[in-house]
Formats: sequence, C-alpha cells, structure tokens
Amino acid sequence: MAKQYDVLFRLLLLGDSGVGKTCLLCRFTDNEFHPAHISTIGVDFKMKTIEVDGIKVRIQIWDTAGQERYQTITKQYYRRAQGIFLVYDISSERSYQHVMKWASDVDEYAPDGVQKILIGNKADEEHKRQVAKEQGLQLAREYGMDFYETSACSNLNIKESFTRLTELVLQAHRKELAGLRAAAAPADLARLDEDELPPAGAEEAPKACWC
Amino acid sequence: MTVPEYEVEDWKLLAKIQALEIKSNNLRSQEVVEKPLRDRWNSVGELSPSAELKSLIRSGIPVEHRQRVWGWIVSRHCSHPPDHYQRLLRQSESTEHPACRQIELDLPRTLTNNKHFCSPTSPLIPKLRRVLLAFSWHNPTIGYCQGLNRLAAIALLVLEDEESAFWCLVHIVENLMPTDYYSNTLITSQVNFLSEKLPRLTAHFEQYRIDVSLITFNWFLVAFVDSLVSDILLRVWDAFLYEGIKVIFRYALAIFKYNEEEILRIHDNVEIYQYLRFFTRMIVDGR
Repeated sequence: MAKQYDVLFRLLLLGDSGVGKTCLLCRFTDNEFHPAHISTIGVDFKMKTIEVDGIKVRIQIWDTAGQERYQTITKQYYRRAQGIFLVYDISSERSYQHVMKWASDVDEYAPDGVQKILIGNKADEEHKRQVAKEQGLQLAREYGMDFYETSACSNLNIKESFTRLTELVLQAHRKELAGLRAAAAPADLARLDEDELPPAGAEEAPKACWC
Repeated sequence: MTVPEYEVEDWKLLAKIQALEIKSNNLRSQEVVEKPLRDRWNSVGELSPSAELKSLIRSGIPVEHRQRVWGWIVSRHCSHPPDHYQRLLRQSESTEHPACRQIELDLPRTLTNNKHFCSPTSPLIPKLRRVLLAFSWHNPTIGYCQGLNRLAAIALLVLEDEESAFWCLVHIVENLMPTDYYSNTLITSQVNFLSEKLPRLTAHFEQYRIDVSLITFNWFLVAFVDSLVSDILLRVWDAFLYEGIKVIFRYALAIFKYNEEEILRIHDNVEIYQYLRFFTRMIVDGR
C-alpha cells in the first residue's frame, strides 16, 4: 500500500485569548467558521494533509489557550514545534503589543531554527481596526518573519499562510528531507530534530498498513 | 492542493458524536432511569449524609431530583453570611475587576452547543457574567481562570438559581479541587495517575511518546464538561459534587481501562492522539 504522506510535522498557534486561533485552525482544516467557538483549555490539535512541491505533508497543528496562566502548560509544547504562527487581532492593539512577549517566549522555549510567521487576524473587521497593516509589516520585518493579514470569517489568506509556513519548514529541513519521496516510510520531523531512534517495534508496524 | 484522504475515520467519529449530541441535546430532557431506582429516590425525604445516599448518588440522580440534591450538597459546604453574594455583586458593579476582560471574552464562548447558551441574548449569559464576576471578587487569588465559565454554566443549567450556582462554583473550586488548582501557573493541574493502575497502557504511551496530560488536563480542569455527552456528564458530576475529585480521577481511569485494548492496537503517535481526542465522546453508558 502506498504511504499516505511523506513527512509529518507540527505547527503551533500562539497569541492572546480571543484573537481567533481556533477559528483559523477550523477554517484551515475543516473549512468551517463558527464565530462562537468554545474557548480552548490547555492545548488541542487538528490534523491536515497538504501537498507542497510534490511532497505530501501531514501537519499536526496545535492550538493553545491564550490566557496568561495557561502558558506554563503551553510552553511545554513549544519545543515540539517546527513552525509557529504568532497571531494578533487587527481590532486589538493590545493583542498586537503582546506579540513581542509571545515572540520572546518562543525564542526562549522553542527549538533553534523554528520557523515563524506573523498573522494579523480578523481582517474582515475593517471598521474596528486598531492596528494598521503597516504596523504588522513593520513588526514582521523587525523579526524577519513573513506576514499575512487573514480572516477566518471571510476565508482570506488562510490556505496561503498555512501553506507558506509549511514551505518554510520544508526549506529549513531540506537536508533531512532529501530523497524523501523515494523513501518507504514517512519522516517525522520532530523525531529527526530530536535525533532519536524510532521506538522499538515501529518497524514491525509500518504506518501505511493501518492508517 | 489539499489531499482528501485519511479523514474518513474522523468523519465517522464526528457523525457518531453528532448523533450522540442530538440524542442528549437538552441537558434536562427525560433520562431513562430504571423504575426501582426512581422509587428509591422518591422515598428519600429529608436529605442527610449516609452510605445509602452515597450509593444512590453514584447510581445517578434522576433529573427531577437533581436540582434539589445539588442544592443540598452545595449548601452543606458553604457557610458565609447570607448577604455575601449580594455584596459581591455590588462590588462587581462599582469597580471593574481586572478579570472582567477575559470573562467578557469567554461569555459567548461557553457551552455553545447548548440551547441555553448558544444565543448572545440568552438570559443565562448575564447570570453567568454575574456569577463569574462575583467569584473573581470572592476569590482574588484565582480571580478568573478560563474553564470556570464551563463549571458555572453547568451549575446554572441544573440549579437555575444564580446564587446557588455561585456557591456551587465556590464548592468545586475551594472544597473539591486541590488547592491552587486554578491559580496563577496551573502547574499542579498536571497529574500522572495512570502508571500505577494501567502499566501496559503507560508503557504503550511511552513507546509512542504520548503525553497523556495533554488530553487529561482539560478533563480535570473543567471536570469533563468538554469531553462527555451531557447525560453522562451530569451523572459524573452527581458523585463528584458529593464525594470530590477522586470521582473524576476514577472516572478517567475507567475510561482508559474501558478503551485499553483499543488503544493498544494503535501503533502510531498521531493516530493515538487522534483517538484520545475523540474517544470520551463515544461513551454512551455511564455505568
């Protein structure tokens, strides 16, 4: 049986409570938008498989609670991510100001070489805008990140931003991924990063047989 | 660009979940309780703590008795001056609590699948606001922690009376949950409870590098509100309110035990996580 994907990696959504992290994720994975999604407690995740440059990439996307006291919990998951979305809400200056704090936490807790992009969400709420697009661009330049204004509500730049972060992660791991399409078993980037042997028994149970 | 494949299993799961949710859509709709159990409940007069009552509560309180029994449990444990809640409300009105912003953010994001909470104009929303604000003044160390909204919402649904719901929240946070559970770092909320009781499953999780606390953190923090279909949730809460947090741990263990073989058959990190994310919603028998 053909393997269902070539590579697996993990992306993480970070940002203040209420900026729309869960809505971005639901729009991307299920193409759904519920303005009143229940608030995330701790961490949650969803899966999606996309094809980039002919490589089938299975992405596990971790969604996190934004309230400050959850950060001791969510920080434990930073180190497992290969790519991170830093999300603010264009109708909340406060959430934009906090991006700096989120970015410095990422520097401290995420692995070196983690790929990041900046997202200004709720771009459909132009009438409530508090953060100019130029401010987003400016901050992204300072951090050397790509920047997208998105709207989960109107489906603006959702696929584009997720695909872009996926590309960045693939580029950053070019070496490990060379010859991937020819390989028999999918690669798990988290595992490559941590430089660990696959768990005992994994060979007897190749993924393609049952997933 | 998108590869539509593996999600078939997920859709099957979702379909089952939806069927279950429809079935238990109304939190206080008719429950099926065997007649003998109903009769025993009907013969309970004045409530007082006893082994008999404990076992009755463990079997699940029939819907028509639940409000009275929860109210009784809560009132036994909370002794504050009678005007305490009113004073807290006055305080909430005169001064803005720092937690106010987060509470407002969460009000429309509470039990959104429930008919009493899905509309922003529902009369339960202002009640929920007042209960949460009062709590944040009552317990300034905790203030407001995301998740308390779910606990208060369940209390409001069952008890209806706002002040009783407030005391129910106080009872859960201050009497039932471990100290500091909801305070600043939440660090005590991660518990390793599986290794002793389910060694095979623990080894399996270690082999596939599954961090169970990722899944169970939510179960414990909101006492299963997000994870169980409502008729089962309320039964778990019956015993939880009466006996305490051990009920939640026992139920969590039982869930793992009940699904152990199924989990042991999965040999992949991502697939195990996918399974764990959904499996509590498939439980339809509370016993």
